[in-house]
Amino acid sequence: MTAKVILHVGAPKTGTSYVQDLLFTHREELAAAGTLYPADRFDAHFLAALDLMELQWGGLEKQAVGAWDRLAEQVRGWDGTVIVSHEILATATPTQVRRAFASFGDGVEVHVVLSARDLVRQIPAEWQENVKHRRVVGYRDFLDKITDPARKGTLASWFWGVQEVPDILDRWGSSLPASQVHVVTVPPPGAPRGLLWERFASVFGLDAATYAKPSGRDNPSMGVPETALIRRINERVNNGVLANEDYRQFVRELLAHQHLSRRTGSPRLTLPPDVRAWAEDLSETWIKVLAAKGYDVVGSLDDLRPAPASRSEAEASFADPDAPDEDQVAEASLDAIVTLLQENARLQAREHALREDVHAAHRELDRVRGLWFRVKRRLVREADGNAVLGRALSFYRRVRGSSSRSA
Amino acid sequence: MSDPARSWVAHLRSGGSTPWAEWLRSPGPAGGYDGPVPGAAQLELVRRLAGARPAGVADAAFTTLADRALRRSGVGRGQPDLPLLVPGRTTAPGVGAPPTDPADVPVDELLRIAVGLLADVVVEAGPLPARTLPQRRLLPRRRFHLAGAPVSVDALRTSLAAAGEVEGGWSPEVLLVVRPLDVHLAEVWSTRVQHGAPVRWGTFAGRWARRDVLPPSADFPRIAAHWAGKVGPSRVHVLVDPTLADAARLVGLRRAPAAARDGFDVHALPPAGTELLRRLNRVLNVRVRDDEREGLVRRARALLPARAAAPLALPEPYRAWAERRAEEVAATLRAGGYPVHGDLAGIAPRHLGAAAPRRSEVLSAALETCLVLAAADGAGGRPSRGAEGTER
Repeated sequence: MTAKVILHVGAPKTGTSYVQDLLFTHREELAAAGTLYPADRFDAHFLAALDLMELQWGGLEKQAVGAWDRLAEQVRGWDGTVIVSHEILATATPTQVRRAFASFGDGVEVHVVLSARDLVRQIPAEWQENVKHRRVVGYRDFLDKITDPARKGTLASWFWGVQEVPDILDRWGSSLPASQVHVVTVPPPGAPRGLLWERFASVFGLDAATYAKPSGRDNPSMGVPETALIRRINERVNNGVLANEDYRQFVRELLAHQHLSRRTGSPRLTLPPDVRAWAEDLSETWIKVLAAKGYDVVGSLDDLRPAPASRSEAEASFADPDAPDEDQVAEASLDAIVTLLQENARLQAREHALREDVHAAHRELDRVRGLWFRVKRRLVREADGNAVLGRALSFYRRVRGSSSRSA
Repeated sequence: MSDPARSWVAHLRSGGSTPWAEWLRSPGPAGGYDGPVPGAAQLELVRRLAGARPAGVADAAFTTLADRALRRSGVGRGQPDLPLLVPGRTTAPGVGAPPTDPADVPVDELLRIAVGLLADVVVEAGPLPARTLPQRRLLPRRRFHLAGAPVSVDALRTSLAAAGEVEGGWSPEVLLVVRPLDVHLAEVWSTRVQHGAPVRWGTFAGRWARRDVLPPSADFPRIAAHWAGKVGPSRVHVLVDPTLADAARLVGLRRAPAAARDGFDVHALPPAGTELLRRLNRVLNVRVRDDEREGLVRRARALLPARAAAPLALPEPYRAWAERRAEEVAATLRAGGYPVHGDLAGIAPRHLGAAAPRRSEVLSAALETCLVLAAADGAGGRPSRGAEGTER
């Protein structure tokens, strides 16, 4: 029987992909040591999360049918500790949390883990995630929506659903002892690179050094002109121009993740001074609420306090993605064009190779089918341009019935 | 001191429909419910279910349905479970969704729960098998083929089949049913939704308009040319907005048969009915396998409240496109030498009705459909799995 389930429920943009990739990379060693990460790919629990929360996700939800129940079955079948991790679980409602807990069976010790980063870094990152998911909302519009206390609309409700740390922990942790609710804080900028993994490892009950093989997986951020460029691309390719699967492959993965996020010289996304002040106040409220709850904090709640900056410093560091430097956007666009040309050339070479394979297969098929088949096919082709032959073929097909097919 | 929230929950579960604000002013009897207080949206949905409850829904069946609604979250993206606004009760400032008076819950949030509830009851009721057309006679007297607007064509096909005239045969008379282009597009959208598609009306229309392409069944010149190549243009009849009598006459019947209410394959639904099925498709995508979905959509469709079909206009940005395409189509058909029955100017879009299904009507349809199922359940008449011919 499973002794312990550790549910890592978010938040997005707190190193979750990195952690999931480490767990996936080491899944066999972990299993040998008694800890199961039940996954056939690093983000395998995404589909289970869609199923649990009945979420649509650009057509991917069709692959999610029954995924949570299958995951729960794996959990119940493991004799030891199981780790489940996906950041969109943060949005689960209390009803869905109850269903998740019940699915693990009786007598299981459930732990909930939420990794959290300060709001001043999270808010721009969330807008960028929105842009990378085809949204065309401008930055100021996004900020206005999330700072509106009414929280109306899907954009604001999603943001708060995945980013409001005290509320997420309330929803996931209210039926658990505080000692089984863990807040892993993301260290401030400049901290040692391995520190975040050490914090996660301590919650998972793992030796950080043993499983510290570097992961190539992360979810890097783009700068201001690059994000502005993707948003403009969205405006051109949405509404039927580019299917979701093509968007994922060419815009999100190829352009955003593999190329534009590697351009490090451009200005980074930050908060304008007015929103920064609001986020600083809200962070103080959260820190107080979390401290009062007595959760197990791995790291320090101080990490959730944005790095101090005066208003003039905030103003100086702010580059507005709604009015970006057009020269920088043009530079990013040229890089994007080159990337797409290279990809086009690669795909074309691949297509040529595949065509050659198909032709070779046809030649081999003809050789096997023999002379009579080749004569019939020739007659059918000739019938396209010869009226007598065409009528004869039509008559032949009527006599033969509708099942007759061209060669 | 009694808890007005819990007594209100008990009131709603028993079929009461008093609004929360009114309940606070003059609360009814205390007690009757000791569980956690559900969210404001769930409570408001149950109150509206009670308001729409027909006489046939027994108390126990209603309470079962109400409990399902109270226990479930909304489907898809939207607001989290909104806490009930209780005067004098404070929450941590700046944390969590704002407490809400149920009367202020947006219709969209109610719809998210209602559609989830509908999905629950439909999945439990099971799929409804597809109906099939009767076989053609061994030696049919008339050979005809129907093409064009899919909902209209299916209704004609079904009515003619009921009179013993089944489509098909060698070298048929072709009846190309042409309707105003916006009506036609709405028929194509409805057909796709009834087959499981989750696409919105505006998105659907926009896709065709932006690509400047007509859906295959609306590409009348292509259909007409295709059949003219087979049977000659004189046997391709273009029927503009035809009646059943028009079609019957061309098929060779002296008297028009009785009109079937619904087609074998698709029904003529009001925009709200189609929109409800579209939202249901989105949930079923993540709930059931592809091969189960269509049967469940048929089940829900069979339980939709009967409403007259209403027009659905194209969104404003696509209207000029539709007008231009309609003119082009009419000109091509005119030049094709086909016998035309009616005025080809009738292909022009009419722009009648709203440009999107009204959410309040979609919610009403969802509530009524859930209640129909609850009534069947309470009467021991739950539509059984595999029951044939129970649509409408």
